Amino acid sequence: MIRRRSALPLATDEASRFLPWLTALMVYLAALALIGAISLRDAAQRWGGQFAGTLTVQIVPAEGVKLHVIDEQVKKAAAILEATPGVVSVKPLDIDATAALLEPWLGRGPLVRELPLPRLIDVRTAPEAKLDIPLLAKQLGDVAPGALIDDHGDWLRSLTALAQAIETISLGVLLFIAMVAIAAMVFATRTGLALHHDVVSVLHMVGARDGYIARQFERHALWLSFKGGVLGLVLAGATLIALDRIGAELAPSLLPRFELGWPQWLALLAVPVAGMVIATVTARVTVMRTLAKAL
Amino acid sequence: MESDNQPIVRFENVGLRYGVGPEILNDTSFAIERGAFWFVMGESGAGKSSLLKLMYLALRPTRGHVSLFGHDVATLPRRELPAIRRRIGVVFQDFHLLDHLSTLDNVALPLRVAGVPETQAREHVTELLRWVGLADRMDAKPHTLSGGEQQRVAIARAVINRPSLLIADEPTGNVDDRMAVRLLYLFEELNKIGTTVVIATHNQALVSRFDHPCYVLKGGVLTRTGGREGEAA
Repeated sequence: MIRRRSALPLATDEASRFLPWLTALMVYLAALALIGAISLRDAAQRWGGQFAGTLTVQIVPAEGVKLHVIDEQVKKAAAILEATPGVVSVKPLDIDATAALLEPWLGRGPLVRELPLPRLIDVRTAPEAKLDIPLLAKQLGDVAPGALIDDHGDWLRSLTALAQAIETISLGVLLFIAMVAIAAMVFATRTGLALHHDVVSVLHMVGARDGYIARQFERHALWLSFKGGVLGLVLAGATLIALDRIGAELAPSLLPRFELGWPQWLALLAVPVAGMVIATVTARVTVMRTLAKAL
Repeated sequence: MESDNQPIVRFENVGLRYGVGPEILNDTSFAIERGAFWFVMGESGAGKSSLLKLMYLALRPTRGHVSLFGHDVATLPRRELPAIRRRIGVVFQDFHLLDHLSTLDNVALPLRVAGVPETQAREHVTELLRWVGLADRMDAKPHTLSGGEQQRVAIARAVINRPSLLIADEPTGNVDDRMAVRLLYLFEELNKIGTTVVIATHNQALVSRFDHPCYVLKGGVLTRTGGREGEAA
């Protein structure tokens, strides 16, 4: 067999030597942006799922009210909640449980129980339940002045808005990276065409179609983007694994843990593939459009 | 539509100028019949190369009509140009060999762009390179070849796909007389099997050894000076 060499010496182009590095950087940033967006959405959904179908009722003791009166208010409030359609379970937290919750900040001791701590009632509702919160608040206020209902709606809405905003920004970053990738490939391809104008002319003169010339650029773009993509993939993978390990070592907190699931790994693999497709298609379109203006 | 009776090349009142410069060709009209063998002579700068470039579709005329194989070049869709070009073999004055490719790869180029299978391409290329005396330089890169060797590679590339029209711009400029005659015999052999040949040359002595019509380009006008084939107006 004849040892086939590319009819265009694109591999020696100075102009395209930076492309694998640029591709690696873009794949790295795109992978982090995409996986960050996916992880945040997952976390927001997990958080939302944890708090959906729950209510917290707070009974804030008025000044000078005795502990047994508060206990009585909690019992009445719990009775109203249990009688409310859609409520699945009602779990009042006694003073000991409330003090235990505050132990990390206030410490252990009899004085804590002397403080006017708000009493909490943990309420679970059926998923499809539509509670009339203002009406329920009024009913609870009648038996326990100072009762507050927190359905976590404000907090969940803020969390969702934050997640959506970050997701939108991430998609914007991805779009921007794709545009930079396209611009870089257009520049490199046009430079390659200009550098090898004489060779392209000879190829045309011996009967090469534009598609034949475009394929040479496509293969070159595919190879460069593959090299850059693999490098970016390795770097992004290493970063994500490091984040995963750091996340595992952190003590459980209010923040959701960063977790690498199959959507993240799939996205990680998809980014360099998308980069290769963008590079190849861009090279082809650029060559075909540029050559269409030639004789 | 193309037919056997149509000229391979037809120029009708063709004018050519570069930018705002003087006309290189001035109302040039001629027809090259199928199977003809033409020599084109003229002083340096007379426009021989420009005339040939119009024939191998490297230029478009400023005015007038150029037809190749019965197709008006001006109205030919761009996508059909490669098919026309594959029927034309060109020996460029400065060879236009691809420096990064070996002799073998350079000569195989027209076959590859035409999609000829590699084994068949190798067979043809090897045979032709042996014929032009370059069997031992198949792997050599153009910059390691002498001027004469490069010229033979350029000629081999032009004739490898047995073109219907062979256009050569000073094809013997860098070879000795013996090789020049040998190469022209190759062109004659191709001509005998139906290839139309147009050769631009300075070499009057070489032209006089062959009994083919000779046309002189002077002042942008092509006039016939001898031979027996073709016609020019």
